[in-house]
Amino acid sequence: MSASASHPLGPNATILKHHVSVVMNDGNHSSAPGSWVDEGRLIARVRQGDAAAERQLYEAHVDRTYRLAYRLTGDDDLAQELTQETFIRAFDRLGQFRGEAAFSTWLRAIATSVIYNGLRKIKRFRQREFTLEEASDLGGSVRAAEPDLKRKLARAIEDLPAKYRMVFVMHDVEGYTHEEISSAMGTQVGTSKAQLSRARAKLRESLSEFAGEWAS
Amino acid sequence: MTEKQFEDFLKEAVEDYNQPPEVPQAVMWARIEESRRASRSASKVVFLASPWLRWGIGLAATLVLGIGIGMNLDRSATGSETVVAVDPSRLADPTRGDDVYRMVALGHLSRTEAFLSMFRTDVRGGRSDYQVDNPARELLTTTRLLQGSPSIRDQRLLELLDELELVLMQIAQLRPDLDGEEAELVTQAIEQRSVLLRLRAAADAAPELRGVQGVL
Repeated sequence: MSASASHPLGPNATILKHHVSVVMNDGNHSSAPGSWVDEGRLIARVRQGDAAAERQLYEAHVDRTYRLAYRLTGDDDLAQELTQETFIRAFDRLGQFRGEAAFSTWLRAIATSVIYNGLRKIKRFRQREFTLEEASDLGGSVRAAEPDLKRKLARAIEDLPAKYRMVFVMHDVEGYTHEEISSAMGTQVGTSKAQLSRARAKLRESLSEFAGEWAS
Repeated sequence: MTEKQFEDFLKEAVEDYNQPPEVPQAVMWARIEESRRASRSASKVVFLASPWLRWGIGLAATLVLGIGIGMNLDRSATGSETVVAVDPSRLADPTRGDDVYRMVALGHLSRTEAFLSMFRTDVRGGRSDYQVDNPARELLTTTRLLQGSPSIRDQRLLELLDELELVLMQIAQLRPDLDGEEAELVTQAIEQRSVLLRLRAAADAAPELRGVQGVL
């Protein structure tokens, strides 16, 4: 009997065999020597209640999940909570994972959903104080009160509608491809591209007073 | 300035946008394990999330709203009576009332979780203007309504609501810009009693209703 025929997820399960991506502190994804694992088998073990396999699966994917959550929230506690929520949901629903796509793709879809909902909730709670802050910003001298470019940029990113912000941060900050973003968000590649373009246009508009900085 | 120039500028400028710290893998894993353990041991009620049940929930919610509105109208009306036509067989099954109750409770727990997460983040971030439109009072009112409902059957939920009442009451009484130390104590209490974790575990115990409700 061949290895693939006896695979716990069936004869096509060898397609699940991929390299565990290790996220380095500098944000690049590198290959860890000797870390080839058969993720299909790992998932099958998790389904059987193997705690060690759960931990292994978690460790293979937690860095990228946490990084995305942190980039989008800028808050360690929130990023931790959103990451935890992602994995709790993923383990609870592992029975629904059919192996048609890579586990990382499936997990990313859960993560983006959890983070997106989290961002919207936060925005709702902060809406009022945010509006008050905006209103107070309108008074006083404009240029003298302006924060520096990076602060203004950070604020402009936070001001983006949640979906644009997700796409912008995933693509321009974390380096995801449009294919990865669209599969995670359940949209078309064209939608992801259009949203990124709109996000950039909005940022450009928000930073128009700094035009000299990037034109030089 | 061209689009390309702006994109190049953005690429460089966002490199350190919300730069993630070292990923707290072990801490998050411990919480995930704890939450999953709590979720497994929680008494689970099987819900039939079939279309008729969703319809029934909608009907019941409308009925509750209708009765509420009817009561208000009744006060101002002169001698008029509000007649509500209901299929008695739908009201005869007490478990349907439980489903509605749990759905409302789940939505409330989700909102409370988001609020407490934000509150903790604000306090840790040194913000003391959290009482601008403090939602704690509103959440406290709903908590008390849920505590007093005859539909409450789950002892764990009751205990959690008691805990929330205490925490929300303390937050609702905080004075803006004056009670920084008190706020810190409330935050510590939230952590020591694992309030957020228990909120999440309670929500995890009813995944079907989570789908109906459309919350995290």
